[in-house]
Order: sequence, then C-alpha cells, then structure tokens
Amino acid sequence: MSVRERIIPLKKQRSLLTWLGLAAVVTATILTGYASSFSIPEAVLAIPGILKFIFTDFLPPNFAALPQILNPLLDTLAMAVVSTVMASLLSLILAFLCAAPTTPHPAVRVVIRGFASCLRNIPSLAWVMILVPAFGIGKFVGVLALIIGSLGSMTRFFAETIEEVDKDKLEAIRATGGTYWQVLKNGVIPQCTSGFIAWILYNFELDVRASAIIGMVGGGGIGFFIQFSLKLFRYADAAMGIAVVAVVVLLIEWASKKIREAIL
Amino acid sequence: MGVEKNQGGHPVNTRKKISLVPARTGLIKKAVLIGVLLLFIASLFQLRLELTGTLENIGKAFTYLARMVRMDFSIWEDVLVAALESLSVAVLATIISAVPAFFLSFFAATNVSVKWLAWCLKALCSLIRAIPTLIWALMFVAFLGFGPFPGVLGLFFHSFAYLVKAYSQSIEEVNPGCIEAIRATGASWLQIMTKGVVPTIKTAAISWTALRFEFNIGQSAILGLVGAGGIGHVLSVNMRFFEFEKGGFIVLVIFIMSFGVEMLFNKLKLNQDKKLLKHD
Repeated sequence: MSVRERIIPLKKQRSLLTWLGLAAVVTATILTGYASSFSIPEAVLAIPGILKFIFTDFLPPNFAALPQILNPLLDTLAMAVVSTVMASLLSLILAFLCAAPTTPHPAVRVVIRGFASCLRNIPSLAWVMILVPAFGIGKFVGVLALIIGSLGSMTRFFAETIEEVDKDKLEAIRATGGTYWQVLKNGVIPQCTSGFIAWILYNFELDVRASAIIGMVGGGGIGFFIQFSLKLFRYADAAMGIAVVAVVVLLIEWASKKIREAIL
Repeated sequence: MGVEKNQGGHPVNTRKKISLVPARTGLIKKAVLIGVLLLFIASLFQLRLELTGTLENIGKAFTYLARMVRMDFSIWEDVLVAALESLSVAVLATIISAVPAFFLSFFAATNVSVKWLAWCLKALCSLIRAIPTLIWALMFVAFLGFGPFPGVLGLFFHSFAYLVKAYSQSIEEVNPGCIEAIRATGASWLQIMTKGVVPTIKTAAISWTALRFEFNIGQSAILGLVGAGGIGHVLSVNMRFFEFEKGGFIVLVIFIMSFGVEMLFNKLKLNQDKKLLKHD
C-alpha cells in the first residue's frame, strides 16, 4: 500500500471525529441550555442591561467605604494565614504517611489517600454549610472549613512532591546504614523543601480567594461585607469591596510568583 | 587536641563540624520561620476566635455528622434534578467560555499578535480572574434575580479569562521555527494559525479545557449557596432546616460529581500519555 492510500482513510477518520466532536458540543450546548433555562440570544440581549448596571450602579466604587472594609479585609487575610499554616503542618504529616517512598505501610497509604480525596472533593463552601449548624456562623467556621479544604489538596500536593524525589539518594543513605528517620531528614526533606514552599504559597493564594467568598455563607470577612452591601443595594460599596479583593488577589499572586521564581 | 594528623601526615580537623549548607541559607531559613510564626500569631489576634464552648460544639458536630451519614434518599428526585442543573451549568459555562476564549487567545499570545494588544488583553483577563467566580455569580444574582441563568454568567467570566490565559500560553510555547517555516512558504497569518499553531496546541487546549471543566463542576455545585440554583441551593435549604440525613445524601451526590469528573479526566490523561508513548 502506498503512503497516499494509507493516509486517505486516516484523514477520513480524523474529519469524522472532528464532526462528531462538533456535533457533541452543539448538542450539549442546546441540551444544557434548555436544562439551565439559558439561551444565548437572551444572554446577548441582556448585555446592554448588564453593562448599564455595572457602569451606573457599580462604578465608580465608593472610596468612602474603605475604612469599613479594612477590618473585614484583615479578617479574610488572617483566616487565610491561619488555615494555610495549620493545614501545612497537618498535611505534612499526612503526606509523609501516604507517599510511596516514606509510608510505613501500604494500607495506611490507601486510607489517607481516600481521606484526603473525600476532603478535597467537597468544596469548602459546602464544608461551611456542614459545620455552621454545630459551630454557628462566624470566623471559626470559616477557618475550620478552609483548613479542611486545604488539608485535602495539600496532602495530595505534598505526597506528589515526595514521590518525585530521587530514589537513588534515599538508597544511598540506606546503604550507609541510615535509619528511617535519617533517610527522612537527610534524604527526603532537603529534596522537597522548595517544592513544599511552592505548594504552600499556591495554597495561600487559593485560600485568600476561598476565604474572601466564604464570608458570603457566614464565615465573616470581606465576603460578608460584599454580600451585605449587595443585599442593601449599596452597589458602590460592594464595588469597592470587590475592587479591594481583586487588588489583594493580584498582589498576592504577584508576590508568590516572585518568591517561587527565587527559590525554584 | 582537635587537630590530629592522618596517615599521610596531613592535619585533620576532628572537632569542628563543617556545615554542608552556607551559613546565609540557615539564617534566611530561621528568619522566614520566625516571620511566618509572627504572622500566624498576629492573624490569631486579628481573628479573636471565640473558643469557649468549642469542645461542646465539636461534640455537636459529630452527632450531626453521624446523622448525615445515615442518609435519607427520599428526596432523590429533587436532588437528581438539581444535580443535573448544576452539571448543565458547568457544561454550558465551559462551552460558551471556551469557544470565544480560543479565538481571542490568538490575539493575546505575544508571539503571534501585536505586543500592545496582547498585553492589554492579558491585563484585562488577569483583572477578571482576580475576582472570584462566586463574586461574579453574586453580582449577576443581584442584577438578574435567582436561578441558574446568573450562575452560568458568573462562571462564564472567570472561565473565559482563565482559558484565554491558558490557551495563549500554549500558543506562546509553539516552536518559533515551525511558525517561521510556514511563513517562509508565503503563508498568510490565518494560514500560519490554522496549519501551524492550531494543530500544535490542540492537545494542550483540550486538556486545559478539561481542567477548567473539572473546576467548573466544583464551582457549579456551590453556586446555589449564593442563590444561583443547582444542588448547592438544595443543600443550603436542607442544612438550614437541620435536615442532616437529607444533607448527607446531597453531600454524597456533590462528592460523586466532583470525584467522577476527576477520575474521568485522570483516565483521559492516562490514555493520552499512553498514546504519546506508542508514538515514540
């Protein structure tokens, strides 16, 4: 068979796949649009109204609300700091227990992985809903929900970092007669430190965002301020809150990127 | 003491331990640790967490959790409808943001677009992304009222900005030699894009979209908590009325949705890796 003959059916197959993919996307759009009562023409028609709403009601942000925002903002940041520190310490332990090179027993590994996956796959806001009936509305619930959410993802990140270490180095330490703890201290940890720091910074970024929105369902902080202002139709105040969130998120993203570049 | 001579007669320092890391690194490490500790304490002071009665509340939390584990499946019809609504919101938001993002990303990639235009688009997208999805949703709920419609719009903005950034990054990673080679044949900009760039970034674009879909599923499940419909709304209502058995069932459904998508894409990614291995 010549090359040309072999290419033709391949090309046909590929174009058929493209068409099938396109058809699937179009069908999915129509079906899901129907299910969520969303129609693209309606959305396009709504654009002028939304723009008018943003430019007349939201903008300009009310700078006079800044002093009111400061304290909720500090709360939000503090919640992110506390949860990141606590979750880092806890998930460090869990990660060493469940990463393949350092786990004491494969069964422990499976159990902790499953546990972390459960924590991770239930969103932090749902954790807030679960915890509020017992602990009441407030910052405590916010911090707790953030810790639980971060614990799930950080255990996974850390464990993956540990699993990427150079096994030969661990082998070398073991060959000199190093104990489990010596392998951990001199082999695993030095190789993982920069990876851990990068993940902690990344988690801090996520936690700042998450703690900003946790306030909306009763966790306190700037999310609560935004929700509250919107409910009272004080759109300019809400816009100021949103602008502050955006600026803080961008600043933290930028700083953490610089630090990561410096250490990696 | 201290200095002895070895077999060759060279002096050997037996007392002093030589640190394997430079002294400065140790100092920085200590400074960072102390800094983080101070920040942590300051944050605790800022929060002034109310800890009285916490033990009692933990007890309460466990009784409630125990009730949540005894799931009540009687409302499965409502939950199913709400879950499908959340799923639809996620699918729809992913599609309507991915399509325009794909086209716009060519203008936001510095290697195939004009510098200032790329810069402006990127800055705009960073700004949109800096505002969390749920705040977008909340804004649209304030404007359009309750329901899934503001939910889709809320997800749309953040997804769109994220995907423009992701796609344009993939475009920037395209081998410049490849673009140069097609240009050398006299191809127009459009031809370079369709024949050179698109085939190269196709796989990366699909996996970015899949990743975003995974994220959108998680977000769509909680949109209901700010009044944007879906399964989050059902959860919020049931937990507010202390219907823990029903709440437990809903949490299970949310978990299955999120976990299922994670598994599905892990498998897809695995298949992709296997394909790559075969070609090599």
